[in-house]
Amino acid sequence: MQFQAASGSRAFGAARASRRAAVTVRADKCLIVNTKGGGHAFIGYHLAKQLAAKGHDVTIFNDGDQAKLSAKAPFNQYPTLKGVKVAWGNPTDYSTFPEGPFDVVYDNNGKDLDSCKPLIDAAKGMVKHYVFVSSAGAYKADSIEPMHVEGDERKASAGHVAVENYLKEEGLPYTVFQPLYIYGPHTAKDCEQWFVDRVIRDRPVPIPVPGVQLVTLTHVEDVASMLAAVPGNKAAVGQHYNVCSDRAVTFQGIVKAVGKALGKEPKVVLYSPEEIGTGKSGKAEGFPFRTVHFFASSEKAKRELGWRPAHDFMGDVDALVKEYKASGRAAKEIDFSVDDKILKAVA
Amino acid sequence: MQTVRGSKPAAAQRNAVAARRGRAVRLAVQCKAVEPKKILMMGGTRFIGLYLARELVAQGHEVTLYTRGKKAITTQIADDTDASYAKFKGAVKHIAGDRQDSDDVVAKLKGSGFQVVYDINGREAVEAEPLLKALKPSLEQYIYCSSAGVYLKSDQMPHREEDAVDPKSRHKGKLDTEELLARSGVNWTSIRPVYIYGPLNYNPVEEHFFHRIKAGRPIVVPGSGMQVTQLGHVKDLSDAFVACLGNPKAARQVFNISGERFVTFDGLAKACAKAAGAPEPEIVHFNPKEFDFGKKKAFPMRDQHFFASVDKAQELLGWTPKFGLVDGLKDSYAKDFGRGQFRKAADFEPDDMVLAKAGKKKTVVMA
Repeated sequence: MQFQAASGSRAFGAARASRRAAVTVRADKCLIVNTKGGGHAFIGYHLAKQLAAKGHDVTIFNDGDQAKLSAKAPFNQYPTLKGVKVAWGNPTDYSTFPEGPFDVVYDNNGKDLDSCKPLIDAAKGMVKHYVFVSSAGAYKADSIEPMHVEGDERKASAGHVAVENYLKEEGLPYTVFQPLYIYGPHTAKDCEQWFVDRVIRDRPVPIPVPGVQLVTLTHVEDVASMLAAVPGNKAAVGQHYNVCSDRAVTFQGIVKAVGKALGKEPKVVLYSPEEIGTGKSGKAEGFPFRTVHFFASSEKAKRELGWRPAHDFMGDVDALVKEYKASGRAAKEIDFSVDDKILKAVA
Repeated sequence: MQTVRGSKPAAAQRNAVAARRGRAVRLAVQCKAVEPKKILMMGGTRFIGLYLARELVAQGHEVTLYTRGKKAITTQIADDTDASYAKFKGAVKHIAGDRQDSDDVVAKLKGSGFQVVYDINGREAVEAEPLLKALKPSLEQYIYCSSAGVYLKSDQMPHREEDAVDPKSRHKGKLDTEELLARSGVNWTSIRPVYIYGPLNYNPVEEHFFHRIKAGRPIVVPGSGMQVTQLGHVKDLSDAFVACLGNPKAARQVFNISGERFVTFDGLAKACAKAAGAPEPEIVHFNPKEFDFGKKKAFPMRDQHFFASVDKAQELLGWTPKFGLVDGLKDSYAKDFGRGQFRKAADFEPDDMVLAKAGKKKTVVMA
């Protein structure tokens, strides 16, 4: 289905665009193309919710097998979204797309040019705003000044960068968002749960040395609120924004906080993935995060989009632990084979 | 080899952005020019005050330094020209006195009519009291140099102005002073710098590294070297102090002031070497628990993450740091340490203890 230019009868932006977000009172027709799994899967649900609450006309178009995925988080929440249309299909095949035209398209699915190009080509010249949910994982790690700021060098191998370049070359009115790790309700990927799994079962927590690595963990509602600030915001066109909390936490800090929330004294076992052969170059088998510092500045989004995070991880830990307990996960069988391998190697 | 920021194209792009923002900021500051004030500076002859006094005088304010007179009231610094120094020297005033003697302070300041106080060297609340008392009829603003050292150590970083402070910190006097100012009803502002550096720094921050780099020695770093900290150039700090003057957005506010970026311990060693035009240094990690250095320090920084967000000052004061880390260290090197000037002689005893244990040349990975 080809995208068509939005009807001219709808005024574009009631408020004049200024560098800070203007409060616009108008409805955009928004399409969220959503991924079928991973850490970004629940962004679509929360974004849809927030856009709908702002009065926009929202459609989610989800990749993947509807039959298999509808019973799982976050997709099992879609029926609770009032007034949001949901369709399933293949984002690289136009014929499966819901009917446009759309004012704003969010690509929360593709990670490389092959998967993103068909959607970009279809949207070109037609949408008022094209939003690509990229990743701060594309930044090259910097061991000297570790915080990632927009404009910093990215990895040569990052597929996302090719997509961004294509958006620029093709002249779309784009905004690129770069989230880090995300936590919150209805996620498809573990974040803090990895830590709770161990502490709640009184298991030692294996942490890659030195344990002081800083990582930004961001609540999905804060991610969604930044993305939802885009419709009608001309200042965001052509810009990149890091999407993250303005706080980072250390690995050891996460363990301590989870322990405190559970009323336990957790035991941390520091180990070197390189030395025991379970990882290298910033990765460690079985560990949910990169093993280097991974935190970013969201100051640009605050300045230009008027965005503010409502959450910080330490403030949320109690609620997250409560949620974990309520889910019944404490009774589940968790695979600790990698932990056992590590603990054995360290002993 | 990890190249230090400042030599890559991305850095140039970012610098251009910062320069644009800087120009906009400077324009904004100029548009909000404050009428000339009668300013009292407590201290002003050692480090921060050297730059701040010059900026204030250049902006047309009447500046009086209150010091014991142990150091010359003015000395020419690298940034001065003969002409600019002569002008500054002729303009700046002085009151000789010991601020620890409260009665004397009151006697010397009563009826003086000072409108603004820059309290650069105050440590305890009791030191601020006579100033508040004596200057009550005329005082419009009290701007205090506190410290980010007041923040309670935390696993969640960076430190932000609203974070918990540590009543047991060795900077407790700064906290007490902030609280006194808040209670007093005066229009106060408190600035909390992190590690300050720059030409004429008397704290061995960059000096520590420049000593070792000059001697061609390895740099010993506690723990993993991944601890994150932050340096702020003294001129950027001075700019921030000036940005508070007559600024309603500064009223009754605390601001963290430092460089915009954060740096790892290992990274700082590398950045200093780069600033000195030296090759990347050998870094040797050590476990601080295995050594007793007595009163000496093997490394100038507290062994923990220590950095603060400067977002609030950037947003409210329209201030932004002009120096990136390598640029700032180059400035310090070119105007001070690179000229062979040091405050303290090099003392490599702690380093040698570490190197001896490490069997030299061996890099130990420490948890």
